[in-house]
Amino acid sequence: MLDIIVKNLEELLPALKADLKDVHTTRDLEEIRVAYLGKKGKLTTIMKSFGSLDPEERPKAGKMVNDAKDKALEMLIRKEQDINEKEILLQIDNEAIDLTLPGTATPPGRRHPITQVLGEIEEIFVSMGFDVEEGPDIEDDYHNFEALNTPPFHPARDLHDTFYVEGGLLLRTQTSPVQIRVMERKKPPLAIIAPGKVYRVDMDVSHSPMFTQVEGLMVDEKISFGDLKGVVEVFIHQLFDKEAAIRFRPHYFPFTEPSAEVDLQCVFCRGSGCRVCKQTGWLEIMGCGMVHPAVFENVGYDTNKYTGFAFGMGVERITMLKYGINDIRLFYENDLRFLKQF
Amino acid sequence: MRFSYRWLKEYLPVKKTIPEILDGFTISGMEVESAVDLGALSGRIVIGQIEKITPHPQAENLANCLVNAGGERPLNIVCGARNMKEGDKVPVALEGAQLSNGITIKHTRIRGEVSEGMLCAGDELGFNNDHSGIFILPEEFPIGEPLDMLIDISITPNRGDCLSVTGLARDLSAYFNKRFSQPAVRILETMDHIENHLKVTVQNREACPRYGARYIRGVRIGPSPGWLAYRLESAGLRPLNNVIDATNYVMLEYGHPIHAFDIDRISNHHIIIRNARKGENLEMLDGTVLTLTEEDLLIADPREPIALAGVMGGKNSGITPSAINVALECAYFDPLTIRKTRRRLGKQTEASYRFERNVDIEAIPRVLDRVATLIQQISGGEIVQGILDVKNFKSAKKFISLSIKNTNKCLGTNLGPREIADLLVPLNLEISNSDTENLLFCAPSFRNDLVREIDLIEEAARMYGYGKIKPTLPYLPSKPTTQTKIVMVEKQIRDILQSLSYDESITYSFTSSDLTQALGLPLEESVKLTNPISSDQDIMRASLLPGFIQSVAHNLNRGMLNLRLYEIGKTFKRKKDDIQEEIRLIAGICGEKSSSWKQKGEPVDFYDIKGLGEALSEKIGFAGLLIEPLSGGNYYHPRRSARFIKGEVEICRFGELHPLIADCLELKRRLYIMEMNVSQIAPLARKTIAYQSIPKYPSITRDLALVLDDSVSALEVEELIRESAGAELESLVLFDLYKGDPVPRRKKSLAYSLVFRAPDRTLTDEEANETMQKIFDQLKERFNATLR
Repeated sequence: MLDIIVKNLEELLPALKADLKDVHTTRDLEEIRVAYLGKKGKLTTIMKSFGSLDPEERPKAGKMVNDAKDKALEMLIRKEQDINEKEILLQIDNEAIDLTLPGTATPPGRRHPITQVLGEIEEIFVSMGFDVEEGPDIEDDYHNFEALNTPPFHPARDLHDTFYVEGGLLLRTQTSPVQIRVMERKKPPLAIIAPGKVYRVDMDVSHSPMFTQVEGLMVDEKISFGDLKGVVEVFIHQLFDKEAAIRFRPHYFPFTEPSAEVDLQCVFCRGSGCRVCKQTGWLEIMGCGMVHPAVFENVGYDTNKYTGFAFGMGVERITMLKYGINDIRLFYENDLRFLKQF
Repeated sequence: MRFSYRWLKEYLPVKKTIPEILDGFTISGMEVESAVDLGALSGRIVIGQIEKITPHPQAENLANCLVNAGGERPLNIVCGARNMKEGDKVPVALEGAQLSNGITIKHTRIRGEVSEGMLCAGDELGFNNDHSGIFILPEEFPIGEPLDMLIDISITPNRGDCLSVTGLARDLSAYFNKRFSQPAVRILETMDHIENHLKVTVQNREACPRYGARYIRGVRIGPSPGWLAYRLESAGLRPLNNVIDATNYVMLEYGHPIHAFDIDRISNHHIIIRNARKGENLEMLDGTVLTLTEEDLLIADPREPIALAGVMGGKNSGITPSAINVALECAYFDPLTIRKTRRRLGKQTEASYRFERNVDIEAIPRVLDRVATLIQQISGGEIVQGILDVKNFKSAKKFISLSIKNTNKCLGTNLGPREIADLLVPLNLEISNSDTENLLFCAPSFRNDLVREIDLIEEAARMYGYGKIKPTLPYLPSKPTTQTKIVMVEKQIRDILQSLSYDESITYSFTSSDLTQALGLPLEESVKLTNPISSDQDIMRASLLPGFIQSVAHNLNRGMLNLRLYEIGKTFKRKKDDIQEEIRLIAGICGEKSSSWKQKGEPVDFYDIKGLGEALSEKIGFAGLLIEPLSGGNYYHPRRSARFIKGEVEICRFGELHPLIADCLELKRRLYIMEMNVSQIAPLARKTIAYQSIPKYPSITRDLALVLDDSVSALEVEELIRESAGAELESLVLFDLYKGDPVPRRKKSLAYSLVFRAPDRTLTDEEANETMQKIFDQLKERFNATLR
């Protein structure tokens, strides 16, 4: 009897193998599984014939059947994986799409270019240890002019055509009054920048009646013109180009002495001369200088002990140079076709 | 200050190339505003002389000019102008010359005749605006030499001493380490003395500390010689007649304004310097009639005013072609007096510009000598002996001490006393004392700007060269940076709005009072500008709305109909004697939501702007807000506007722009706006995050679709559901609002999704059902709700 079982078992796996050969779908595979391993399947039928075996032959036969069952299962699983994979591959082939249709994420909004560049400027100075301070847009004559060593009827006032408001106050023509307000409040050492809007009666492609300035001030016991050069150079190199040449040239501001204007080698022509730099090869970036002793005297700082430097720059101008914008009025029209570019 | 390079070169004691000179100016602080090359740099525009003019064989209106331009043979140049004659010196643009109007000169044939260059008019060169004919050059100009260059220097307000050609030459020489002295003047005078002919009385001595006068008789008025006219024009001045031109010429040469009077038109030959009487009139040389005040300083004769001191002469005493005897005035007027008069009358002249910036009080006799000899040279006449010199000031030497230590401390240099002295002496500063620590200098009288030590430190730095000072980095003590709550909140707001696709706009701080009023905003507290740039920018904005709406309209009118825009900026309000500046936010949305080929964007509505208000308020730290309809709607839609409040404080307001306003402004889309007073609410914002553990037990979700009267608000329903559901209601979300068939008229259907969860056990279906029943019973009782 055992012989017959052995023979049947030996024939079972090759038969299964042969049957699986033509199977291509999950459903067909299920039929085969039932035909072999189901309640009325071939293997079950063999097991049912165990009843006629001698008790001592049963363990051996049992082991043989279990082995055969394991092998059959393995073959079925492998076939199942095979079919699965083929079905997915077939599905993939039918899933071609037009890759060139536009993507559909909602784009984030844009910060105004002035806000962006101002942010960059602030970040550079804050990383160097400067604090950010603010002051009022509507100022008094004392803070905007007199305390800055610009008495009434000083010729330098001609450079600042001033807006006045009813009641005698004025719209600050520069962010420099923040220097005074901070020094009135705090003692050195000081390192601050003061961004803000400033106003001058002026309007054309390069002048706007309102524009943005960033003022800087550093005061301590040993601050020199060399320090001013160092800080300004680091700043400009960070903001523009680490390789660009920088030039300091004497200038005049009532509240600094020595005063300088800082030129950056033209970013458009690399110094060879073009329309933007008016053929000079240089672009004016900011004004700066050592704080005038008269200013320290006005805020009660000891001029024997303290020295300091101050600088100021126009954010619109820097933004125009950075992005090649040729009309300052674009900043305040808020045309989306402009704003969306930054 | 614009001038001819040829003129400057005459005074410059050092030989330098043009690039060296231009660089020298810039590096020493005299910024070169522009440099128009008339051949001096390129060599392609030269001085030529016309040898022969013959008619052009093919064209009646052209001529063939044979021009000696210094080359081996004369050039043939075809020319269309008529004003030149044989022997004239003319500017010749040679092949390759670039004219200031952009034209490049080439050899060419004009109607069959060879033309080897071009004869230029003044405007073609960029010398002046004259296009009436070829620019005829002074006869002294040497044939074949490059013509010239026009240099324009922008002179800072502290350097009045550089408002002249010799002044600039003097400063530039110092930069090239050479000391410059103005040339001496030799004068030939009559035996007769000026005191016999002219009297000067100075009544206001403070305003006129020095008044000098000279007298020339027997001049012949006529045109100036070519060289003088050329130089005047190079500086942008128009030649008038030889006497006036001479005064202008010497002003450009020495920087000191001079005025010439026809002495025979001055009554009693008596010049009086006095203040004007209130309402006194004076007709100026340019024909305008000025009404004066007691602040104005006048030159007068015993009868009437004859000039506005330091600004302009009067018509009644000017030099006309019939003048024979001339009084020359060279004075020092108080800069402030001149400035006040000039500003009030709006009359800036070459003279007032220089007086305001200080002239050299000590130079007066020398300037008078110079101008007198020049007039004698070009107009004839004789110089009457002496100067009437009324001095009401003390000549005093100005000493300034300079500490070596302070110099190096300020500049970050390590200069010795010797080096510093070498830098400053070429500037005509005299050393009057020195030791190892200090130098005592005597400043020249023309440098009114040198007063204290720091002025000398600057001069030392300027002469040393800023470029040579080594950059260093200062040491800063480390400390945390401080940021105000407002600045932090402002940053958060920008971040949130950016993530929600809002673009940032910036508008002017001033706005139109008319538009402000049209929007229903109050004007009582507004800050008015006394000198607005235009009538539609006449007040400081108390609200961001007017400017914002203009930005929106700008875009709508240009076809950008779907926009999300915001602005954060200052607003201004008058509060009693004070002005209040506050930072506010305005955001607006209109058109459609972002649409794509997959999905058409729906029109935005009230709930989009409300959603923005919710998101912003929550993110910056306001929870548990109450909503309240806006009463007294002003520029908001009365039925579609509300505000969020926290206690008494408004966090933000939002809604649709009033349709009447939108109509009036012709806005092409409905605009929904939100406003927030950032300054006011930022200090109250409290963002606290307390972690809640992730739930262990599963939740049960139930939907509830109700039919309710239209008048029942969503808030009421929500509050009642929460109240009746108890603590196990984890979330409540409205997922549908429906009106229309089969829901009856004046009814609406609200569908909610409710999630229940208990923190300590798994809820059973029975428990959830029970709660749902309880909720529905309450809704039915209170709002007569039915299930849909």
